Amino acid sequence: MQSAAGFGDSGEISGVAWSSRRSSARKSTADTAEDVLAAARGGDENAFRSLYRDVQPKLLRYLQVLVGTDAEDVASDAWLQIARDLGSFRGDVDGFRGWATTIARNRALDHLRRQQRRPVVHGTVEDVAEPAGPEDTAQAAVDSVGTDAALALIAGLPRDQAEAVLLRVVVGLDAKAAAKVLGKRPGAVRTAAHRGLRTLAAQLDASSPPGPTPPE
Amino acid sequence: MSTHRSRRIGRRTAERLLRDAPGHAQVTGHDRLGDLLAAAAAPARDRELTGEHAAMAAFRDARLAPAPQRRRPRMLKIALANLVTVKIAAVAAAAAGGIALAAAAGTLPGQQREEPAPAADTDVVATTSVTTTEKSKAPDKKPDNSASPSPSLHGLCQAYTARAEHGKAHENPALSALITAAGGPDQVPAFCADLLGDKPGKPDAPGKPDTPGKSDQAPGKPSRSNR
Repeated sequence: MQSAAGFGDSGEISGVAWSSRRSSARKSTADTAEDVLAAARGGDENAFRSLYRDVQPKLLRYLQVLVGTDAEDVASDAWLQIARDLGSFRGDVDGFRGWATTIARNRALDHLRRQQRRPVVHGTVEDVAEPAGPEDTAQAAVDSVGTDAALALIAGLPRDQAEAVLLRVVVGLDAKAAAKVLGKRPGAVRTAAHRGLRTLAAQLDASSPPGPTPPE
Repeated sequence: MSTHRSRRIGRRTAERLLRDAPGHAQVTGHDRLGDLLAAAAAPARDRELTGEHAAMAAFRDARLAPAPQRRRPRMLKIALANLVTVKIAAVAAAAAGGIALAAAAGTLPGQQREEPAPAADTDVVATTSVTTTEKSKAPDKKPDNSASPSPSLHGLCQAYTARAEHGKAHENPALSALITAAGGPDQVPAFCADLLGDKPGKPDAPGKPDTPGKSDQAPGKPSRSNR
């Protein structure tokens, strides 16, 4: 159940340590964002809606890589729980993002367990990019620079690398927060993300467009 | 030529790419990777927000039926914790007395337990002694929740009194047993005043027939196993 190393979905447990390390990066909006979070916790619907609009696309893209086409359903489950437990969440906006991601991930893992099948990581690539090798997917990603194509390429990575890259790039967590979501050490998550980037870079290189093709 | 050929990505470069992707960092030599990551982190598209209605409905529902659900277990725990504290204190007193007596009688050579033992130790001692008495008194009672209400009510009264100051006592479901025993919410204060006033700090003194309404119960059964 609690595969995320014991800090489950309860805001009380996970709330304490969910604090920001990056708030200075968003100094200008930090205050208002915190205000929005506080208002949402106080029951303000508009505030909750802004939280949803900020976080949902991130969760959905992350979930897409974990559960493929079931991402929407899993995200809905996650939001039910987020809405229910928001009152007991303690932390700032960055913390909220990590907390919500943890909930989404736990729901995704539950879902996978129920389905009794392995993560759809590889299936996703094929779903989105037809029967194609990584090179073609990479080419599509470069050509259209489409979000789906990019996600599909990332989804083709080994799962730990894909998760690490997505949590950092798409969800916007720092290494420590991502590690907390994954129940791993920050160093391990950093390494996985770096490996993922190198693999992606190699795939992009391999799919270099025709033209001034580099030697070799 | 080398525009398409990525250099090997070092740790620092990787961190920059990971950190700045949404803002689309241009890391020299890794344009395409930067583009890719930026695309993955692109702004929300409408179809990614189709669940908004359901999420808002869930939010509204959660506001309508708020916190108490999560609080209940905790209140219960507080009540139970009170019970445990009271019992440990009482039993500790009894045990310390017994030990002192035994030591005086010379039956405990070499035991350095004369001074009041810390709670943890006392707890162990107490449990055993209590169990024996209990066994002799009420042999076929189940050890769990069927314990005599006398000590429970005492603890509940304490919890009640503590909470009454905040005006929330009646809302606590853990106290419903107390309200029942007292014969109604209005009776509780008097009931508890009686109970607490009669025997301050000694809830489990054996043989307490004057406990209101409880004279028919086996009175001293402090070791009801809490959880």
